[in-house]
Order: sequence, then C-alpha cells, then structure tokens
Amino acid sequence: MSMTQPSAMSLPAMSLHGVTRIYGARRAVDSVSLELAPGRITCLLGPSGCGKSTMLRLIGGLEPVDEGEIRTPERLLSAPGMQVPPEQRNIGIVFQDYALFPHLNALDNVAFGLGNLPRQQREARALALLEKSRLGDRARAFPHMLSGGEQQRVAIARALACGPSALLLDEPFSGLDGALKADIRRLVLSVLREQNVAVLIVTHDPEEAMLIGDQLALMTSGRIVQSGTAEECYRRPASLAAARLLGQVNTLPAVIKNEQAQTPLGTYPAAGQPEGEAWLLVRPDELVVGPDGAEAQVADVRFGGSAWEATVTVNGQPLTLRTRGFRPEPGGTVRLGLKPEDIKFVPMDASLPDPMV
Amino acid sequence: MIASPVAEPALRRRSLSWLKGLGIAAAVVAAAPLLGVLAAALSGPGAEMAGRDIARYAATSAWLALLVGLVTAATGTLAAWLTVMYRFPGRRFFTWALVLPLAVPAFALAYAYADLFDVAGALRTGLRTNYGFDLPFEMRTIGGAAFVLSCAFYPYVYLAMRTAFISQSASALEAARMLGCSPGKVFFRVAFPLARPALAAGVALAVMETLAAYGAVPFLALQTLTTGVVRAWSVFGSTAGAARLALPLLAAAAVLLWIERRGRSGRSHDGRGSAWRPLAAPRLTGARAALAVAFCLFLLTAGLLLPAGWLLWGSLDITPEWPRLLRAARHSLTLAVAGALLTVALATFLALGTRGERSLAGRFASLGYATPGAVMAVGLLAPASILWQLFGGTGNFAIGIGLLLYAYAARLMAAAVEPIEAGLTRVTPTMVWASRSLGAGEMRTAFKVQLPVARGALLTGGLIVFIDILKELPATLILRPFNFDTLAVIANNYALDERLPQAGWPSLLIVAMALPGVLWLSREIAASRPGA
Repeated sequence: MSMTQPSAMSLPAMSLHGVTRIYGARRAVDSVSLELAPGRITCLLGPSGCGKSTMLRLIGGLEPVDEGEIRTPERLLSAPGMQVPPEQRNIGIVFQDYALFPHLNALDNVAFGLGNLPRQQREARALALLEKSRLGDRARAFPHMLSGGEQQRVAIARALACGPSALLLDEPFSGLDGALKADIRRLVLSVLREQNVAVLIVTHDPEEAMLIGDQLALMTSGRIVQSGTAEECYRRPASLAAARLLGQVNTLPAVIKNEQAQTPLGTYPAAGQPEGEAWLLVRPDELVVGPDGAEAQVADVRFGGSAWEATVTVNGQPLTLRTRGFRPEPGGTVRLGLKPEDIKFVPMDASLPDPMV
Repeated sequence: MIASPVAEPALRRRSLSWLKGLGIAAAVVAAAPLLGVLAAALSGPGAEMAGRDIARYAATSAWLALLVGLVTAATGTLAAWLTVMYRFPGRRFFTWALVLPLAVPAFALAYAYADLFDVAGALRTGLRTNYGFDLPFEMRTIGGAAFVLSCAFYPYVYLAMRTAFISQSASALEAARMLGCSPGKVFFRVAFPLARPALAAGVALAVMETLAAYGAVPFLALQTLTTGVVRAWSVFGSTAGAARLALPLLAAAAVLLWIERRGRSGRSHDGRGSAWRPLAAPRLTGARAALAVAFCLFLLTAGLLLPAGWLLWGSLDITPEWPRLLRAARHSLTLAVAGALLTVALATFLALGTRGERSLAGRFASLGYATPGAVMAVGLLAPASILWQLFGGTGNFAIGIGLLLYAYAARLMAAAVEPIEAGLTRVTPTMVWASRSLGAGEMRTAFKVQLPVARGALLTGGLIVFIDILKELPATLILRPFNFDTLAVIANNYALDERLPQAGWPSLLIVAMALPGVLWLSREIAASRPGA
C-alpha cells in the first residue's frame, strides 16, 4: 500500500514551530516543531507526563501557546497572545474516553458537526461515514448500547464528518482489549487513510506507535527528542532516551577511536562516529548467539512465551538477552555477537544508563 | 476559505465569555439583597425595639435551633441508617415516603398540632373528663415549637445521611465486621464517623430552615429574630430596624453555610473512589423489625399523616370560601411556576458560567439560600421603595410581582444550582471540547450538549424551587402587591383570625400541590446510587 502523495507532502496540513507552553517554572512543552502531512499518520510517543496531552490541548486550541506558533497553510491558529477558538479551527479530536454525547444516538452524534447542512444531507453523510466504519446497522443505537470498539468508531466518524484538516487521537486503542485491538486498529486505519486527513495519534505504547505511524515523534520532558519513520527511530536512535522510548535496550560503554569502537562485546566498526566515549545500544533480541563473539556468563533464564529471556554478564557488564529456539543454560556460558546493521552508538549524555535493562 | 496569514484581532482569546458574564450576572442577582440588608441596617434610626427584646428574640431563636438540630440529627440519622442498612417490612416504601413531609409547610404542622393538643380541644377535654388525665405538654412552648419544626425539617438530615450511608464503601463496613465489630459497633465506630460531615451539612440545613421559619413560630406564641424582622417592618414600619434584626440572622446563615460547605468537602473520605457495590443488608425479624417499622411509621405519621389528616378532619365541617381560595391557589401556582422557571434559568447560568471554579459568585448565591426569606425581603425593600417612587406608588402590580420573583430567585438559587451542577458533571470536559472542535461555540455547546444531558437535573432543581415557593410565607407577606394573596398568605390570615378550620383548606391545597413534586423527587432519591 503506497500512501506517499508527493504533492500533498510538499504542503503540511498543519505545522508547529517552536511551540512552547510554560506552567510556572516548568516548560511543559518546550520548543516543539512538527509537521503533519495530509494522508499521513504521525504518532506522538512518550511516557505519561511528557507533555503529550498538553500538545493536544495546544493544537486543539484549548490552551494558549507561550512561544512559537501553530498554523495551517491558510492561517495562523495560535501564537503568543492570540488563539483561534476550538470551534473555528476545523480540527477533529477523538478522546481516550470517546466523549460521545450520551443524549444522542450514533447517527446524531456523527451529524452533530454538520449543523449547517440541510437535515437530509446531514443524515446521509453521517450514515455514509457510519457504514464505512461498519456501523450502518447501529445508527440508531445510543452510546451506552455500543461496545467500546463501536463507540470509538462512532467518535472517529463524528470527528471526520466535518472534513477536518487534521485529526487528533488521544490514546485511541488503550481502552480496547487485546484480541479486539488489532482488528479495530486495522479498520480504523483504513478509514483514516481513505479520508486523506493529517492524523496525529498520541500514545505511550511503542509497538502500537511503530505499527501504525508513518512518522514517529518521540517526546520526553516536553521536548521532541527524535522524529522520523519507525525504522529510522528504532535503528538509529538519536539518544539513549529516544532508544528507551521504543523498547528495552542494553547500554554498553564504548570508546571510539579511528573509526573503531572498543566495547565489552568486542571491537566493532564505527565509521562516522565522533571520537571519545559513547554508548553502544543493543536490544535484547539483537544479540546473536553463535560460535564466535564475546563470552558471556548466563545468570538467570526465564521463559516468556515467544522467546527465552536471560540475564548474562559480559566482561562485568550485565545484559538482557532474548533468544528463540535456543535455551541458554543457567550457570553456563554463551558467545554473543552483533550484526553490523544493528550496531548503533549514541553520545554519553546526562541520562544515566540503567545497568539492569 | 479566504487565505489570510494572520488571524483578525476578533479571534483573540476572549477573557470574558458570554456564559461567564451571565453567570456573574446571576450571582449579582443573588447577592444584591444581602448588600441591601447591610445598607438598610446602616441607614436611618431604628431604635423602635428595646435591646432587651432583641436579646430575647435571639435567645428563643438559639434555643429553637439547638433543639431542632438535636432532634433532627437523631431521628434523621436513625431513619437513614435503618432504611439503608437493614431489610424490614416496608423498607422500600419508607425509603421514599420518609421524604414526603417536605410537602407540608411548617405553619400547617403548627396549626394542626396546636389545634390537636389545644388545652380546650376535643382530645384533651375528652382525656380529662373520661380518664381524669392530662397530657404533660403544651404546644405553645419552645419544646412544642421544636417538635413541630423537627417534624417539618428532619427530611433534610435523612436525605444527607442516606446519601452518606449509601456511598460508603461496603468493603470498609465488611472489614469492620471481620475485625470483630457487631453491627451496632460498626455504626458507631465506622459508619457514623465517616458520615459526620454529611450530618453537619444536613443539620445545618435544618437549622437554617428553623431560623427562617415564620408562620409556625408566632402562631405557637414565640418571638424569634425572624418574626422580629417581620414585626419591625409590619408593626413599626421600620426597614432599618428590620435590617438590624436581620444582621445576626445573616451572620448565623454565614456560619451555617460554612459548616455545610465544610461537610460537603469532607465527602472526600467516602467510598466513591472504590468500586461501589450494594451492601448486603441483614433482615430484621420479630421485635426488632416491629421497632424499625414503628419508628419509620412514627416519623411519617408525625410529619405528614397526622397533621394533614387532622387539618382535613377539621376542614370537612366547614365550607371553604371558594372564590378566595381558588384565586389564591392560582396566584400560588403562577408564582411557583414563574419563580421556578426564573430561578432555574439563573441557576443554570450560574452553574454553566462558573463551572469548575469555586467562585465568590457561587458563594454569594449559597449565602442567599442560607438567608431567611424575611431577611431577603427586607434587603429588597430599599430598592423597592425607589422603584415604587419612580413608577407610581406601592400599588404597582408588576413591580410587586417582579420583586417577589426576584426574592424567590435570590433565596432559592443555590438550592437549584446544586442539582444542576451535579447534573452537569455528567458532561465531561472532553465532551465539551468535542462539541467545540465540531464547530459549536460556547452557547451552542450549552444548548445542544450540556443542558440536554442535564435536563433531569434541571427538572429536579425546578421542582425544589416550585415546592419551596408554594410553602414560602414571610417574603411573600412583605413584598406582595396589595391584595395579592397566595395560599400561604391566606392560611396565615385565617390562622391569625383564629379561624383554624378555614386555614386548613389552603394548607391542604399547598400539600396537594407540592406532593406530586415531592413524590417525584423522593422516588428519584430512592433510586439514586453513587455513580449511577
């Protein structure tokens, strides 16, 4: 499925430049710049309290920006001292609790934003959207009669009804249970892509973000620490913090000199890396157990369903190792190596490595 | 859409929105008469009443408040505890029926009991001649008045305690049982301490009503501050004197309000955080069940059945003055409906406009509720006299009605705001935001989302106001246009003329008109569950 539309991509549906929101002495959102392209899904990923929700409130027009600006190609939406009210922004929002109006049925919920159309057209458009979401037969049901997944699809249809220039979704799949989640996610994504709308999804689930986002924006402490495709972010993290957002990661101290890195796992090529101390980042499933490589002592082994997870020590450095089809023996030794494409270094910044990751 | 790089200044954030403005206006409406009282008290001479009289009035008010507070606390709490925690024959019925005495105005109870237990009445005469025995009490005393007012006001405590007991976590009470407490011990060591804030709030309401009571008190030959206020105005014609008597009442109202609010914030230690599940109420049997039924039946009888029955019995012998009665009924109904509509509208503005903010405005409105109607009316007399001078004398009908409705709204706004605020909490902040992101402005959001979702609460608020206006006496007496009688006013006039059987008719009509509303409210209360 190719979604790239060069013409659309050249002009973002919405852009943020240096957007900052200050609460007292804290910069809840700190100089954030972000572009949302039509027809593309951007996932804003970060731990709770990192400023994701504040971002939504800023884009939605519920809070003023203290620095920077938010705009569409046509107009300025927010800047210090000015703010277009939410009802004039043409931005759809889907909340974590869906926020359906309890006194209106599904159809009327979806038709709510179409107030300026004649009644017949309004209902026809709302019904068409519901049918696309496979909810045509639930049009007359009230929110309390709908399942969680159905409520969510009504909420999305409602937000899409007025043809918004951008759609914001707050933790959209967190309220759904496992088996249903993947199914609904697929359906929702197909509906979203069809509308050619710029989508921003806020989530704290890295796997979900990577699966659904065309583009990721990783956020910690109010700042966007990296943005790019899921693969770029996963394979080439900009920092330790960025790497940690996308899942468990081992940190090994490395010394880089003459494009070679000395690490507890051995010497690896480090072309283009600045000289000096750095972290070698290794995800538990990237460690290759084989005949060569550094010798590691196996301390503890657990069975985790799809893989074995072992705690091992290499040259005094504890590591987490995940393997399939091979059970490391507790107390034994294994040899560990890395594939060249999995080798990644980040600068040793202020954030301390967690040795037991 | 026309591309314009910079938004016009009109789109700048408006710090004062329409809704907020209306909310503040509603609060000003509620607060103005209170300021009027202060202004009147500071103006002109008011030495018509001796300081000794004022002290005597204040002492009577205080004694009444104390006695009614104690009696309603005990009876209201016991009734709530029995109906929430135990099963016994008729529990379901009593759960809502115990609220019904709210339909009976206190003055009607006073007429009924004073007549029933009159020294020269049929009951006592019969007892004396047949058995040589006299009842050891008199209704026209502080004790008698406290009994009458307790019968009228215990439902406030019952309602507050019922809510508190229902919302308590079943787990906490069950844990207490597993730790070795008997049901009685659970009550005194866990349930009652947890519900103490609610008790304070309920008793504060009952005491507020006691201090504000007018018709019943002079009829039982007592003089309180509130009767003093009316007397200072009607007998001595002194607004300043009335306002000065009103000041201690206003201070008491502020204190009671503070107690009531504190009780409300104390709700934080109820069981609302944890998942609510119904208590496994044990079944009472034998003598215990009989005692529980007897107690509930006693409250219902004393508050509604006996006095209403006695008034009806006495009234059946006489032919009512139909034209006068029907005219007054029409006036009462019109005032109550108009007052309810106006008050609910203002309360809705207040609730929407000050939502989520503990504003000074909201507190002023609450102070209005704690303020006796007589005081409220006195506060309006000064602006009223200006209006009367401007627009052709005290006879101006429209101004009179307008002032009266204003007084009702100012006094009852807080009573309506409370359920409306509670109803509006069903509209989550995300729903409001969702509506606005769909292009609906603040006003459209209010009318299309907030008010429809809270419409049940609007009805509840309206009914509370409707019932209170039907029963209202002192403010109506002071502010009504000349010759404009309501049922409460003619009941009071008949009673003052010692024509008690005639007073029974308007009293019963009030009960009949208020009862459906109270019934609806009480059924809803009985069905209510936290989180429902």
